[in-house]
Amino acid sequence: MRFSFVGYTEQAVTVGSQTTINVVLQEALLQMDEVVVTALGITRQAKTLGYSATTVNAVAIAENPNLNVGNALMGKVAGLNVSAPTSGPGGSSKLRIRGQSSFGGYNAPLVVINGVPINNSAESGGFGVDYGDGLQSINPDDIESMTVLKGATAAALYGFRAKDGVIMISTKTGAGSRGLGIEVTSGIVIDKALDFTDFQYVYGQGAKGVRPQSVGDARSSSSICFGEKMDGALVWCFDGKQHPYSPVKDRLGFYETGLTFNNTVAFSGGNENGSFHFSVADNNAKATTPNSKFDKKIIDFGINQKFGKLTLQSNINYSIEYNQNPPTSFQQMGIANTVYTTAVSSDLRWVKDMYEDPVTGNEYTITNMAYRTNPYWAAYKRFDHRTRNRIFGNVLLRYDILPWLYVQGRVGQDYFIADSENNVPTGSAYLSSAPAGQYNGEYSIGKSTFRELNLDFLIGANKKFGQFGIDAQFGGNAMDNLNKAVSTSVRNFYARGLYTIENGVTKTPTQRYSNKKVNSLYGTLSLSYHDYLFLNATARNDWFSTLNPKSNSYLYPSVGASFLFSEALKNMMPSWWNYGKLRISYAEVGGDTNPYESTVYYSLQSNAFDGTYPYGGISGTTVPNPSLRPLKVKEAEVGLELIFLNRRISLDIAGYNKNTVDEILNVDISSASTFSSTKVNVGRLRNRGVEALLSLVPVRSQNFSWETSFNYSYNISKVIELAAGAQIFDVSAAPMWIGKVSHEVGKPLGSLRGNDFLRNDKGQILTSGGQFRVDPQQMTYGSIVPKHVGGWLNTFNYKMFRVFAQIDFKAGHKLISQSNYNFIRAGYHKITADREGGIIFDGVVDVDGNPATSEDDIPNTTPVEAQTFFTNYSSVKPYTPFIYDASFIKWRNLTVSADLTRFVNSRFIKGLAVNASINNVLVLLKYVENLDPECISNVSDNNGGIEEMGPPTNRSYGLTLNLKF
Amino acid sequence: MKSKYVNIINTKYVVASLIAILISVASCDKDFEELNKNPLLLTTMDPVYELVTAEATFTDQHHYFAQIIQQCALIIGGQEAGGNYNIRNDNQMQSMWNTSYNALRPLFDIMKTLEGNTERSNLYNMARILKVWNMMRLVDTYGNVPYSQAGLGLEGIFNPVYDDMEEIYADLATELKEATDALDATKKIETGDMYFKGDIAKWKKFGNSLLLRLGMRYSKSKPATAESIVKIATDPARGGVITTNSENVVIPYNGTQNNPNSAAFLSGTKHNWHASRPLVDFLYTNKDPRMKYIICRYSDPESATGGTIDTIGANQIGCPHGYDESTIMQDPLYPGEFKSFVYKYSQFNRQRCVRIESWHFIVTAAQTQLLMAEARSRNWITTGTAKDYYENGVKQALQLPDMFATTREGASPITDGEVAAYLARPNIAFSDATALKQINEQYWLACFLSWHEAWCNFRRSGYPQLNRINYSKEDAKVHASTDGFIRRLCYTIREYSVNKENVNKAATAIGGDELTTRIFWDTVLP
Repeated sequence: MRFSFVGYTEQAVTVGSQTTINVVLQEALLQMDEVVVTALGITRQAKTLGYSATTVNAVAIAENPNLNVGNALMGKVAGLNVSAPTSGPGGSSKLRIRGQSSFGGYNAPLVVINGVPINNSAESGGFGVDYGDGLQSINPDDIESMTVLKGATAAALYGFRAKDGVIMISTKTGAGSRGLGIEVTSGIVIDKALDFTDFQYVYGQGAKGVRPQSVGDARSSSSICFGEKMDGALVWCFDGKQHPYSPVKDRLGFYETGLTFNNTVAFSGGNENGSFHFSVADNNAKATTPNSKFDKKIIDFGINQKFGKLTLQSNINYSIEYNQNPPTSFQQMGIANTVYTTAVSSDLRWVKDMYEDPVTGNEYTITNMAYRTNPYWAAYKRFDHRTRNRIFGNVLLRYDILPWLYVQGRVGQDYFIADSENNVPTGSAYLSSAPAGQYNGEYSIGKSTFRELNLDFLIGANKKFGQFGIDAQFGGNAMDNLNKAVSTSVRNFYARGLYTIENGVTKTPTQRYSNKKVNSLYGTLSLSYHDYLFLNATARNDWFSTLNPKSNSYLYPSVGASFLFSEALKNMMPSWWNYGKLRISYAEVGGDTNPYESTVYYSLQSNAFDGTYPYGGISGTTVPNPSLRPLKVKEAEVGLELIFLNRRISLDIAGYNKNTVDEILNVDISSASTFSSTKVNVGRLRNRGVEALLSLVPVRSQNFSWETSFNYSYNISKVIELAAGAQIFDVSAAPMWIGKVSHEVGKPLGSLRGNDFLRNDKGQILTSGGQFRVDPQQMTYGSIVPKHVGGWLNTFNYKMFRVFAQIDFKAGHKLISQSNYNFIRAGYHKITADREGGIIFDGVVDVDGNPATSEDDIPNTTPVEAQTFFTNYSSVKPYTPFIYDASFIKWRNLTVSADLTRFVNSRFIKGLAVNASINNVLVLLKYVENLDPECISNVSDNNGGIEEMGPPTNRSYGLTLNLKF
Repeated sequence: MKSKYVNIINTKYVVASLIAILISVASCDKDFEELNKNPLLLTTMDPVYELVTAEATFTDQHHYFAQIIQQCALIIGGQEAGGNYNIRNDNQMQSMWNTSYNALRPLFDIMKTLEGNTERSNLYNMARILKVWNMMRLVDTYGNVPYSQAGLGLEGIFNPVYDDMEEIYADLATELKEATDALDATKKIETGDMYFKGDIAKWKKFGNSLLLRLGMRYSKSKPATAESIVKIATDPARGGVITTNSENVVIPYNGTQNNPNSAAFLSGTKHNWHASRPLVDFLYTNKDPRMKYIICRYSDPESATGGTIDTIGANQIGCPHGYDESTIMQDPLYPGEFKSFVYKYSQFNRQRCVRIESWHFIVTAAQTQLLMAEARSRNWITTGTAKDYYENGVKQALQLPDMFATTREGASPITDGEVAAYLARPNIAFSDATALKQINEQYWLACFLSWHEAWCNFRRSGYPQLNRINYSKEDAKVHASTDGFIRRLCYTIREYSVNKENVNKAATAIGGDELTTRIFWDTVLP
């Protein structure tokens, strides 16, 4: 049995036959001897580190109802910015440490499990669906500890993979177990879609001020609310029936209650020479989107065994992840866009059972907008299935040659096969018709394989000479990374309703292959003096297969120092001042590179033209650059750690300056060169920021304690240089409607850009014929990257109860809302309610023919019919009304847990605990209208600030029971 | 027993695995160069495959050309608006630029690979002819464009200078003549060629027909130049021009590679695309036998089949130009809408001319014979009669395979008798007095779905005589111009961001990057 209490060292007492156990907990020696897992899995005493490394509470991760471990980290670590995309229960997590280190879309930290990197990239499919990332393959209950290595120095031993920091995870090996233990954890989570819409409910469906006059009208105009004032009279609706012309305020009635079952059974055991942990987990998550679900099964095995001087450790994690119909925000099969923009007098549930035309078998359309697919059709006729079988793990052998000298070798591999198939159903309204005698539609099936093998060795020595100590390691790593995929897609079918390759008319097979290797040698040297001054230096050299052999070797160094002034000045420190440490460090680390980018290749099209003439040519439109090198991040960091009053107050602050140079940019070139771009090492970028973690224990008594902690980070980026002379580099544009993100010299990363209204010199909006126009010059609205990210975490302990509450926030960033663009142009938004007699826009009319001068301008008095007026938003597309401050404060989580062990004090049950948890409790502050500001479904940094009508966010209610035998 | 087991692990496995790891790291980058070659791609390729890529390039998009020459009409605004409103829509204006230069990538690459190669000189010269085809269309659309430095991306010229349009044309004429003359039936026949399986006689006719077209472009600005080029192009000793449909240059679209025009007319927005009133009226007035195969009205235009199809000429209502969704009801012949925004105007026949696998015509006998008719009536050539060329041109147009049939490659259902009847009709029967008007009206019809060429010939010849669109919110320059037509498309926005200096120079050189700036051969006649 284990006893622990805040600020005291944990004690283990073997439960025998005694009926009473008396334990005296000793106050912990604070962080003095705390051990942290650092790069390469090397454990070090926290006090010796010259950089910031934050350990995450594994219990808080395990109790969070989120299926993705990454998303459970939200708001918990200073400097770690977590965004959970609205992409279904099987989706990815978006983690960013200290801003974004490159102009590219993927700036996620490296995930290292038990010392070996795993693939954490977000896998996506057709229509941009999110199949989940690497962290989905981990069962939170298996996590022993988690450390976030934030800066370049902390991550320096990972060389080319270190630019975004590292999430280090150790999984359980049953350490400390005696005998056999069984632990059963069962939970249920209920998800509800959150509706933030606040529409006008005055005017109903219709066009040009008239309600639908026929079923045809109703099936044509259901995406717009330009009808009459709703009066409750019967009106034709898209289901072919008449319904009262009245508001339907349950806007998200289409979405169902999500239901997730989580079950884990874990066995652990051990003796003085070793231990093991074995667990089986089963998660079944039914999404709020009908017919969409995510199931995963995870088996995890960890073992640690000593044979004298030899230690064997191994962890193997096997997962089967099944995604069924993950939601998409692409217009064609995007369900949310139709759900949100179904007229306020109509209810989608009327067509719940009639999405298929009974005569033709085609989609039963409910609007004239072909791309607003009937959502029931999209939910039940489209399929997208993907199964990923994944195994990762490693085997480590360590031999202690002498008490101060060891060698170890390790083999680690991450391997998965993903099978996927999906269709575009025959008869979808937006599809082109097939040639006579054939049926339109698409089907695709594919298999992709990923394998990364890492072989590494390490020789370590640790010796003291008087007041001096040396800790040194030397090692090497060989990485072999392989990606393969085959798929075949077919378009149009001979027989209807059979989605197979054989039945497809046009078959397009594709094949992908990519293999790269990186070999590395590295060393670390740590010197200590008197247990209060520590100097660390590391160096790593990487050799890349992807680069020109003449220049494929890059060195990544780091230096750091830690000064424990509370120890050095021990006699001068007041007694309430327990701990004080100053740290400073500098490192240079790199970015990854892609294979096959240095030469010209030719490729052939899958199908010969007209079945007879093979055709092809130069592959891609990028001019290869044989002298590319990986980007480099140079980061300096200082930090201060303080502990007062026996840990009642502790503070950890850090400041950093992070420069990225030699960014690889795809520089656009004239298409008259017959190519579109070339890759060049040109970009420069800077991120600066501070992070702070303040932990307080205001109350600490026998029965009650309250721990509270604030974490906060501020990061500001600046684009220093783009390609020769370029001021703006466009990274993305919304696939539909409006929205554009660029990087601009002198501005923070990720500028949201677009067109303002055309204004006079006073800033008044110019109108002509009562209508506004737009300024053809684009302006910058601000960055999509938050400057402020933080959380306030509270834990209350009262006897057997524990209450956890988390509030978190992000601020200082912008987003553009496609939803509100559609809400305004189609008459849903509240501002469209005031339309009687036409809209008289608050603008001015230019009289003298010089739009720049305002003296002559007179107020606009011309009314414009509502539909014409608001449709103008989509004709001329002003961005300004749809740019929002994306800041928010949310009450993220409330968890109540109770340890009921004493009620079941039987011989078989060693522990019983329950916990109830709510995620997304309340939005305390937001500025985006009609939506959750976190309603972003894409994890790429390029699309960060573009809200594109994805699925709504959810509130989750979880209940978990934990039994130990 | 146990300690022995440990010893075995000690000595063998630990040492062996560590040594193995050390060796693998120490051996370092030996295999790296080999590893960094993509095993799925080629480092060299038979250049004939690149020729087919260029042959398969489609640039006749309907957003501008079809609407400027008033064969196709779009009422609604938004992303697809362009030629219907006489406005600048950058997305639609740039497509020709991008696709044409894309087509030039394989062509320049072939020419680089095969320069000086005597064995495959035919392929080299076929690539040259296609280079001319693409460059001509670029000049015809934009004016000054990159030429001398175009296609040199791999050589490090990322942002090429723009060349003078007239100088480009002069060089294209020389290239075309030389390339056509250099085609040699005794050299390797390129059977992988999609147009003619390498048939030299047909390629010569293609080259000469293109040269005839190029020469005729000068008819307004420099008639003497036109005459001299036409004489060279039609010199029978050089192989002659295309005379019958079996010699047409065609992109053989099919169920796999779909016709992009058709795809648009069969897409989710298929109900938006209407047949223009001038086209419908011209066909109807002259009892054109083509009409029932290309114009129709659907009972349910949004459905895949269109519902029941009405092809009766008298029932057709072409869509007028110059209206949008808020004014279309002011059209005196406004037929109403099926439902909001789905109008009852005539459309194109999805079972015939815009089938998904419809062929696309690059250069046809009809076009070429009609150009011959004009050249003859101008006395630039002396053989044959203008009437014969004209009548053959019309006959070839009416009997064009694929377009009027319900099946791919199907023969035209129009009989010789119908052709004769048509040629006897009052406005159609050839008359020397109205030769140019008649020839070029027929050229307009013969270019149905090959809209870019119809637009070029309209600018050159002034026929057919169309009314200006006169849309209330049209581009200010177009509005202020005397003719009211788009004479040119604007340079791409992308050029202004990546190749700013050169495009700005070009814009100044041509007299402004406007829809109204004229291509050098499109002079304003007094």
